[in-house]
Amino acid sequence: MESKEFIRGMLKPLILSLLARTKRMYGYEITQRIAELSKGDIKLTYGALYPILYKLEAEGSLVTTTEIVDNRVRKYYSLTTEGKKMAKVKVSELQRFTDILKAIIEDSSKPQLSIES
Amino acid sequence: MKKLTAEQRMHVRNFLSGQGLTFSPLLEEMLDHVSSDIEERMRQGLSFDEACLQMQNDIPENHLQTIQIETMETINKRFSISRSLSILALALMFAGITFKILHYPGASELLMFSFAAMAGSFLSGTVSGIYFHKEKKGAARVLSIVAGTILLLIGYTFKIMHWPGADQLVILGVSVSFISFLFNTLYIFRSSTPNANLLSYLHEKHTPGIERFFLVLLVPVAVLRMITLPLPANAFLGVVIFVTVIYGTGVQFFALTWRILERDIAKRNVTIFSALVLSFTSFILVFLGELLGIEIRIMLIMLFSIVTAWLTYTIDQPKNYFLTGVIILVPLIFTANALLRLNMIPAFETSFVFNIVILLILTAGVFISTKHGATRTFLILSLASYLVEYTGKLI
Repeated sequence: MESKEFIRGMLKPLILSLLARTKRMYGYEITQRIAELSKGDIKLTYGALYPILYKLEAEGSLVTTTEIVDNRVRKYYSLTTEGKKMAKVKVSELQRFTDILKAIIEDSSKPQLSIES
Repeated sequence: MKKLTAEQRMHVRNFLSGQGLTFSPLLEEMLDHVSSDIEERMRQGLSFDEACLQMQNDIPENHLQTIQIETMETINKRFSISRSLSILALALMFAGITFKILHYPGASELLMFSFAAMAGSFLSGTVSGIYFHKEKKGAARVLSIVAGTILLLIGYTFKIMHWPGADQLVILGVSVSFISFLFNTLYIFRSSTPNANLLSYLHEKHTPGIERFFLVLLVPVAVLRMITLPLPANAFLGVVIFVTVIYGTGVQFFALTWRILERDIAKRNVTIFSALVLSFTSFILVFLGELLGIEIRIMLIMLFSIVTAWLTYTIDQPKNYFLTGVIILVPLIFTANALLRLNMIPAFETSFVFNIVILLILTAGVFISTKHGATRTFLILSLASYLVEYTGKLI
């Protein structure tokens, strides 16, 4: 998908909703899951993902745990109680927003009955 | 399943560091991410070299550095109260010193408020850290360090204001700090794992800010002191800022050492444990000030410089001849200073110990040791101590 800016704005609710369904996930797993669910249309860059994860952690929506996996430190993110509430709000906001967009787009794509004619 | 070998992992780590990733939590996370990515490409049939090259081509220039800046900005916003207070502390400290030089009234009060702001900054950063990371262990150990520091700040404020009870407060501050250093050291040697320890986590996040704070504090005063070296030393100017820098960088040094030991179990041995205990014991006792005889303090400083130089070299292992030389130079300076002050070598030898060349070598050490945290902190501490001890001659 071309519009990177467009994806960036929706990333927060997307990450929150993924974490609401899966208990805990690590960075690479999140990018893979989003790529998988979007059938390869959305490929997250590191630059888009990590500042948001750190921001959500700083805001207290996410909590992290680390484990040593294959001799590497793996950081898992999961939702806090506050994060869960936020996930619901953000997802329903996004839902509403896409509904509105859909309504506008569908309306504007209908054949126009011009008053002037 | 294809997994990276230790050598390949090191290759990836070097690549990430080479791209300017210095913030270790992010570096570790990126290492896991990039390694997973490479392993996935290897699973699809690529060799490590091919997968690595693909990954490198996928990352635009300066991309990692940009992420690091964005991430740091995100984290720093949370500590805004702490940061504002530290800026206020710096401003008040410089205002206090300026007032003192110009003989304006209120200099001591300004210093008192500066200490209060410093205490507030330290406390707010810690309390918010504890609040946001309830899952991590060691809130009591973190708070004990904060308590020791704040008690010392209050004790020294009482000293500056000539209020009664200053000595008792300083003794209390030194005792609490000693206990906190001991407990944290024992914890690291006994049971610590890096990810659960709140102190390491908070310290790591705050390290850039802490370093900046002490450099901002030290640089102007050090420059002023260097310019005025031929003039009689202004004891007041030297003492307050330099002592603040010495205490702060000392605690910073121990915290860095704990973190290095936490990550490297091989270094947790009896010798390093003994050196660390000796280092912080000699360090904190000096803060008793006039309560100890000057000879005892001089011996403690000498002991601290010898043990800590060895400790710095052992834990940091700088592969740089100049830095190794500077680390060795520090105990030589403070041993010679002790011998001079105790009249064990003639006073005219002072010029061998205190001269511009040594001062410049120490300063150069501070500037080129950016990649060696413990070494740098030790050298900042040594530079501040050297400027306090400087006997006021140029050559």
